[in-house]
Amino acid sequence: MGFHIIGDADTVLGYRFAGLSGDVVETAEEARVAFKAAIANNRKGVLLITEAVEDMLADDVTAHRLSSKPPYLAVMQDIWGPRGKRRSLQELIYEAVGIRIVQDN
Amino acid sequence: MSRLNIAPTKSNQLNLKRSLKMTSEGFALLEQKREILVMELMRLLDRVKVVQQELAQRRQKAYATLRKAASHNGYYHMRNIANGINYEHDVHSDTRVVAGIRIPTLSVKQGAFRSQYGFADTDSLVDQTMIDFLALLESAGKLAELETAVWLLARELKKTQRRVNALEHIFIPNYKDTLRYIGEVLEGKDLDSFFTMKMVKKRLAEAAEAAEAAEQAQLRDSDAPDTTP
Repeated sequence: MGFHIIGDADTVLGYRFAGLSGDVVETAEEARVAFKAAIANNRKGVLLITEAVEDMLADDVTAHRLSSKPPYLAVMQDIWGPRGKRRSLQELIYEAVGIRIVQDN
Repeated sequence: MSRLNIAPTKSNQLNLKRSLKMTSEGFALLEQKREILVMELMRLLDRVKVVQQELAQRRQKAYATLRKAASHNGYYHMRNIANGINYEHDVHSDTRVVAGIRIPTLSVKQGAFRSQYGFADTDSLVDQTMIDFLALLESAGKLAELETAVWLLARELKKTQRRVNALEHIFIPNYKDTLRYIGEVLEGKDLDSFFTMKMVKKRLAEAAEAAEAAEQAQLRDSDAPDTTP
């Protein structure tokens, strides 16, 4: 299996040009259904989700990440630009290692 | 000072000593694991920086090209083209083990760029969109691998950190304090019984002396009164 993307219509359109299969979702409910289906179907692949989808499904996404099962997740920015301040991978590392203890706002 | 709520007996002391030894060994092991995890995460940090920079560049380029292409060709036309595009991307995953955690490594085999639509009513921007997004996808694959690894390692590190702290600041001091307490109590008891023994010995000696004296007195004078206490 290869790549799959879940996101809004315009972002998904872009990735369709790279030959990805994609689910267009608008609401949290749609996103949850698509996410569950993608996890069930796409064994051994990469699942791309947009930041908007990650925000909608924060709990499911975290749970899936920690289960260390494929598909492997990567969060991509929406085509409409970044959605506010997010916790980046660097910050996650700093926090875990203990370089920074408190999250600064 | 905090100590466990157990009776200060010799057998408890032996048990505790054994526990303390095991806890100290476990502490040393966990400490090593923590160091390995920290090193691994710091190593990943460098890669994360590189990949994210690359990804940001490619993403900006690809999104800009897509917007331009859409405005030149029209959104619906773009959607029709996109529906006809099909690439075979092959993702192969493997695992490597770091400090007992299985971390996936991905190798991505991408389909090579080829034209998949008619030339007549598309322009070069459509081709460019495809090229840019294919490049973006390559970075996305790397990001997926890194994200998974970082999340798993970070969680494990937090867990290990907590255990190390619990052992270092709670369990080991507790055991040590309790052991000291038991040691003191046992020593006190030892002293107590030593003293009691001395007393008993002294009393017995006195009694024996008195008895002897009485006997001799009796021998000397059988009418003498009995003086034993």
